Amino acid sequence: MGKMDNSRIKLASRESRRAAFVFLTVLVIVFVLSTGFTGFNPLEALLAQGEFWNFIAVDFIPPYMDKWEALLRALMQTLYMAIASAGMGAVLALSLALAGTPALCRVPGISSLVRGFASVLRNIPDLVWAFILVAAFGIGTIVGVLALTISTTGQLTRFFIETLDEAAGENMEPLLATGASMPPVVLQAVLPAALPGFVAWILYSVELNIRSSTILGMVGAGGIGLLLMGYIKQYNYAAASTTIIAVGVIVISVNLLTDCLRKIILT
Amino acid sequence: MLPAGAWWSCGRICLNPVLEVRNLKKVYRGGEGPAVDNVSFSMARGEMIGVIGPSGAGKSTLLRCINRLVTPTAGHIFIEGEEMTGAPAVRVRGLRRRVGMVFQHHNLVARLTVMQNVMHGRLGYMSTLDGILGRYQEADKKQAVEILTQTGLGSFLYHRAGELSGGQRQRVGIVRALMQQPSILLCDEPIASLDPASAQVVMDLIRDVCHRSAIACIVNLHQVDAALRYSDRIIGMYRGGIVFDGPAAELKESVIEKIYNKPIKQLMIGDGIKGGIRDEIREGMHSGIREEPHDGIRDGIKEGLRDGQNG
Ligand SMILES: Nc1ncnc2c1ncn2[C@@H]1O[C@H](COP(=O)(O)OP(=O)(O)O)[C@@H](O)[C@H]1O
Ligand SMILES: [Mg+2]
Repeated sequence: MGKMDNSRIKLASRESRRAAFVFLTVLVIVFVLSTGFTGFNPLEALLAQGEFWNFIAVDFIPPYMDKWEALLRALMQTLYMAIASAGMGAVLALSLALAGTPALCRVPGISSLVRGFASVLRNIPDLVWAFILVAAFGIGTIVGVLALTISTTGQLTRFFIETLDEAAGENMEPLLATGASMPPVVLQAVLPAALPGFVAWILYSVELNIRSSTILGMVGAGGIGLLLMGYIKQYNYAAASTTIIAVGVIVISVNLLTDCLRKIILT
Repeated sequence: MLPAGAWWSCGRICLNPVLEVRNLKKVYRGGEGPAVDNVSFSMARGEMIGVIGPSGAGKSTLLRCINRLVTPTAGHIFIEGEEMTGAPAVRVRGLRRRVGMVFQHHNLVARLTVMQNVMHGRLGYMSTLDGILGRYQEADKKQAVEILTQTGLGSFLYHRAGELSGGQRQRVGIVRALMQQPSILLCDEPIASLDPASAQVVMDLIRDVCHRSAIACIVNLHQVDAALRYSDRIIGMYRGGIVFDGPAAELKESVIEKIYNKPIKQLMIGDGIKGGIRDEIREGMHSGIREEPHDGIRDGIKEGLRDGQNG
């Protein structure tokens, strides 16, 4: 006991504490260096604030809008774009995920193929898809829907595979043991077990798509983004600020709505 | 076919066995040594075997080889005289219908209702299209309601499986297996995660099913006391091999020590077994078997099954 008095009892080994310290230090250094290389000066940003607020106060406020009908139509277009692309993406992703879940589809190699394909769709930003598609289809909603469908398919395929894998792991064996064949087992047990997960992910991609479609609109994919870009180009900042507020309202209400739906579905 | 009452043990050799396992061996890829090694035994209709042994002895592997959830490395398995080993996938499915299985966990699809889960037991008998669409026969549904009612689950038909207690879930799992009209029921540690009261209800149900409907049951158990109390016959496994196969009454302390490779003092099993009051337990076991059904569960299940077979 006497020997323990002057040395405190540690709760973790010396090595693991040292590793944590080194890791944190490296993290801070990387952050500081990166910020330095961007040339971003926090002081400058603080000083320039005046100009920023001036711009907001003089040009953006008060919001003014005389073309409510155009605004509403653009908003609805954005909403339709987000929902349509989430729906089409979900259907495509489900077919891909069924083939890409090793527990469900035992054809060798097909899982890696599907995962690779989905990863390509997902990792090319939808903004890039939109640029390519605008070149092919011209400016319009169809470009937005296509670009969002592509990226949604990529994302949902990955999430659906995870969901299906988990559902299959827990629910498939007892049903196969009854002598049932694969298709009924998938339809009667795996898909019902995976359904809440699917719906949660689809709602999530609706949220993402609403936000993305605003940005995609700015490069010509239709909807509220296109309208906003037009106002900014015309220096009509009052109308632009109204549009931004409208986007905020839509994003927040969709989030509230999906939160609500998620709660209902998951309980 | 033997009469329904002919549940008694017929030892290693029986005429017309419902299950025969011959020189079964399973070596897992990457596993060190065989998980099951040179296991042979056969079973009569309505016999109840308790399989005991330490973790890793190969109890689960043995059961899973019988319905080919695991492909055996060598040996033969005959279900009602038909060879399961080496059978093509379609035949395996046909044979699996006659073998019900109850797992420790994840028996049921938690989100689906009790009825939906129980009807899954019929999928093996339906065409793929009917199975996909869930077009179950009305007669089968009627039978499901009957059996569920007889097992005391009549008021839970439309509850989600996830809302049930552990014991209720195991009973639903057993009813789903019964819907297969099996001749064999495999139970892999069915009471391992249950409280003692639910465990007893579940074990009672398994024994009723076994003796009254002449379904041969193999039950993997951690609890030696439960195995002694409920089984006609005990198989003791150690490191993949059978080290004991005989009537429950013959399971001596020395054998238990061999199965668990530990002196009996270091094993947490009922004092009755340790302290040499084994006769009492044996009596309890027999009276348990002769005991009349509490609420007509047994007869009900038997009738339900018979109706199902006729219709
Ligand atoms: N899927 C598997 N892959 C590799 N080894 C396994 C697998 N399942 C079980 N084993 C091994 O086989 C042996 C027997 O396991 P198991 O049959 O589960 O025993 P028990 O059910 O008696 O506890 C153990 O050594 C275990 O590690
Ligand atoms: Mg086991």
